Amino acid sequence: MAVDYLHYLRADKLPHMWCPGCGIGIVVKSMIGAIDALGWDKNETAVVSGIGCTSRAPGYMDMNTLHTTHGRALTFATGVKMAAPDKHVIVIAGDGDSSAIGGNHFIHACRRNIDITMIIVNNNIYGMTGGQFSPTTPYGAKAATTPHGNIDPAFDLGQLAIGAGATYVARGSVDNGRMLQKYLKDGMAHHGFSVIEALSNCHTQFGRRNKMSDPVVMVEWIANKVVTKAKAEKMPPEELEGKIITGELHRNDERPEYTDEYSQLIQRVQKKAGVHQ
Amino acid sequence: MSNITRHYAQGKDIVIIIDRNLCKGCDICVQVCTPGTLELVDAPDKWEGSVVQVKDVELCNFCRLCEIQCPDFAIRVVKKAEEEGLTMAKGKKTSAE
Ligand code: SF4
Ligand code: SF4
Ligand code: SF4
Repeated sequence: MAVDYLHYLRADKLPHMWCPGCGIGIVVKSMIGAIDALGWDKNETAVVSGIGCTSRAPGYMDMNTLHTTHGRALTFATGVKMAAPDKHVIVIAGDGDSSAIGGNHFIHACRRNIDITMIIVNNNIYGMTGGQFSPTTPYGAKAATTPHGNIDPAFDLGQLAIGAGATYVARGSVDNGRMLQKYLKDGMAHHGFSVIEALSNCHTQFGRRNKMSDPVVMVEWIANKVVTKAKAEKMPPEELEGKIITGELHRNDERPEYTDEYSQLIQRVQKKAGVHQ
Repeated sequence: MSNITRHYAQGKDIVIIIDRNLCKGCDICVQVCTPGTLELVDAPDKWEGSVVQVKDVELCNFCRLCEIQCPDFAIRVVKKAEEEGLTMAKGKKTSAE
């Protein structure tokens, strides 16, 4: 079935502000495809963001949207989910927004296991502010603030999320919108904190400094870097050198979800105090 | 002014819908289309300088890759029965403004 994408968008705000060929548009499209496939009502869905190119996404979405402060999208989203636990809450954030400025909120949201879907558009750079290196800029890559090459090791956001306690973690990439949509759908359907990392292209700020100023070239670079989990299991370690694994990386359906725990806590305390419901 | 064109295949049940206002000429759809249905042409009226165009709708195999990979919601590939009821951009602006 054809997805009516513009039904979920503020069509009068298009064309969007992203550079020609920017992968964020592909992530937003996959996200809409996933919402449509799950049959979620857009009026029952909230999309929350912080600051950055990615964080402009909710501005185009005809849903309950919040564009908040840098790194703090998860705190606002937690508030929304606690106040309305029956609603769907999605956070969309860039790599810097989620793992540098918002790194603290990120690990604690993972630990809590609150039923929020976090989509991280990882394009390895701060696009909006002029191409400064981020916690996911690859070792050796050039950025505005690493003109001679980056000497910081990069975060593996998937492993970070798993280590901090997220109960659904997957990784996709913008060269394969169909696959990305599948993981977004599974993550949204999961009852708990889910993290879906989408490897994306910022050819304008990252690519331009690393011989990939053309979006097609940079999407191709991503396509050559990724290997599906199923394929990687059959590959020798030397061939996996420098590759990034995509697929469902982790899943735990056993851990209690935070808003469930909270409502049980209220019931326990009310019972103890003799409050009738 | 809306700038939407619809291309109907004769031999098969396929419609390609392009919104020229939304297209930024990034070339992604052209590169993913293996049969060569699409092409990029100069667009001096747009700041991006190029825009997608259907070269030959009959070549389309309905893989829908162009639609899935277009970052700008500018190209749709649907069956004729699905065409009705699709929301279209009402924006009067072109991306040149
Ligand atoms: S600067 Fe980079 S991330 Fe921002 S819109 Fe342009 S390509 Fe996308
Ligand atoms: S649906 Fe497939 S074959 Fe048809 S124009 Fe798009 S990419 Fe080409
Ligand atoms: S992918 Fe979309 S924006 Fe890019 S050239 Fe094709 S139709 Fe235009």
